[in-house]
Amino acid sequence: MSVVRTENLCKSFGQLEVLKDVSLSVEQGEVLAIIGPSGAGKSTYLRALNHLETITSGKLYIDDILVEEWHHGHMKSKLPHKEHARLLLKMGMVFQRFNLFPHLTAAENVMLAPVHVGGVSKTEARKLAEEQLEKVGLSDKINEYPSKLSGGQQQRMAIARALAMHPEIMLFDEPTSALDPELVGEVLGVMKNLAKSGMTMIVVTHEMGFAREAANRVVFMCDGVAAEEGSPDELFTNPQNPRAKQFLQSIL
Amino acid sequence: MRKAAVVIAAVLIMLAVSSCASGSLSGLYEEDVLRPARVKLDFSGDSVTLTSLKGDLLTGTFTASGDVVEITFPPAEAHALGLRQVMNGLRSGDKIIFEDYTFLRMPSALEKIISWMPALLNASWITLSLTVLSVCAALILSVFLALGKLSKNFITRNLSNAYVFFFRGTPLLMQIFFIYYGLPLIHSALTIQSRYMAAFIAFTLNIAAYVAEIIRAAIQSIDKGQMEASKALGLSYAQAMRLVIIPQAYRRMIPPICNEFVMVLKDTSLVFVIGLMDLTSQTRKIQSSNNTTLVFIPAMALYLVMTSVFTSVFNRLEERLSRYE
Repeated sequence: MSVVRTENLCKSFGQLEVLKDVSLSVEQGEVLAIIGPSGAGKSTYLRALNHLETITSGKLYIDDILVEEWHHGHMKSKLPHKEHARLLLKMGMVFQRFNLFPHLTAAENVMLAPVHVGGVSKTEARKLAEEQLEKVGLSDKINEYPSKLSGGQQQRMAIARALAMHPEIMLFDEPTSALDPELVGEVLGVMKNLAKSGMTMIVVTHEMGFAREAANRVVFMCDGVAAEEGSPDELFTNPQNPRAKQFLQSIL
Repeated sequence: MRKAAVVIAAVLIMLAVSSCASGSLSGLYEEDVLRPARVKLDFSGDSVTLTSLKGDLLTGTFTASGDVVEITFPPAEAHALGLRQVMNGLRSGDKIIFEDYTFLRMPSALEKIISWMPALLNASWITLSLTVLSVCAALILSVFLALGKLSKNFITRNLSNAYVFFFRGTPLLMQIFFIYYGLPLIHSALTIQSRYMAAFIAFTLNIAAYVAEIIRAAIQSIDKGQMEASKALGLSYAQAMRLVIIPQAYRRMIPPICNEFVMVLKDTSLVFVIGLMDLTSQTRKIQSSNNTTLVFIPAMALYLVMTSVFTSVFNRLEERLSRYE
């Protein structure tokens, strides 16, 4: 069963086509890494999945349910609002720039959505926050404001915040790109643990080491097209697509 | 900041008092003095004798120069009678009869200021309460206007824009005038009986237009990622605004809103057009009836005190809201 699937997903900003017929699917428990040069549409793809960008054409399925279908900027079908919101909640998202809520402490950041969206009581949410923050190694930072934490700690806090909504799939949008090099490891460590625990993940990343080690499948994206798809071994050692070859040569 | 303002106010008052309360008992009396008898002034040679109704006698000297006669009484005695005035248009040997001699007594600056204080404080209350009430009401109204301006809905957005366009683009003076005098002409049901209420409504409507811009700018200055993170967590637009965006925007609104308070405090002087006695109107009234500019000093001090209260409250608020930075 696929957790998230897109069929011929297209996205244009005015005349600029950012995504062209991207058809991908992610199975339960799978870790999909999306790599590629900047401007390839990797982030836009994640954002389109999570409804942060409206898609122009194509179909989006979550749990094999058609969530919405668009055709050249016109909506063909969309689930009723409540159902739509419920399915979108199955996705948790981690951003490149963390996007933590600076006016709330670590615990409050994690608690916000469970209390106001999930309808969990404050005491329960607090317990949940403590659990999640412990999972990412921030037990001692529960009452700190984000500004008091390092970039790596902030990103781990963002992961805890997303996990608190119990998503079925986690979307990571270049989670380590804004970090100092020495802080990358701690975030990747948390992500690897998450992958090991069976979480379904889509990771847009420039960390080839991580893609190679933790991903089940790698997609090379270029000019808005999913140009090549395969196991990490295949794709990294023997890329077929000439652009993929060139890209991997330039960074490895 | 607040301390500084209080000190400035105190210094201004002290300066005024010390400069005006000199020991000299001469001055110029320029009003019509020919009123029914209470006090007599007898001029003879270069001395003048004042006889009060009670029979008190006071002898002093005078000098005549042209039409002006200046009388000087010995300070100690004059003080006992409370006399320190000079005649105008008198000549030697003239006998002048006064209605009473209380008006001959020129109180010290401090006494004057104290005697004006009840009226000034009353007027300050009008100024202060009108400012606070209308800014607070405007804050509520302006949140809706700001959200309206940010709305994707064509009608909401343009209604909000039109509102701001109108109330920011026309003089406040005319708005006050129109609400009090103009509305009843449109329909008698629109009559606002109380001047205070009319002023309150005019100020609220006007300030809301300005504050709406402040709030809109503060909301828009919040990083877009905050809204995206909220949406990704499943928060609705309203929840994201209420729980994430607006709490962060608060802090950025505080300096311009404090500014707004201080400006409105002074703009309230425009209520004179509908005959409401605010601090400025009261000051001008005292100024013209007493023919003295001294009254501006306590009035300005009162404005400074009110301003410093706003400033200190907002500084504290800003400090408290900055704790997470």
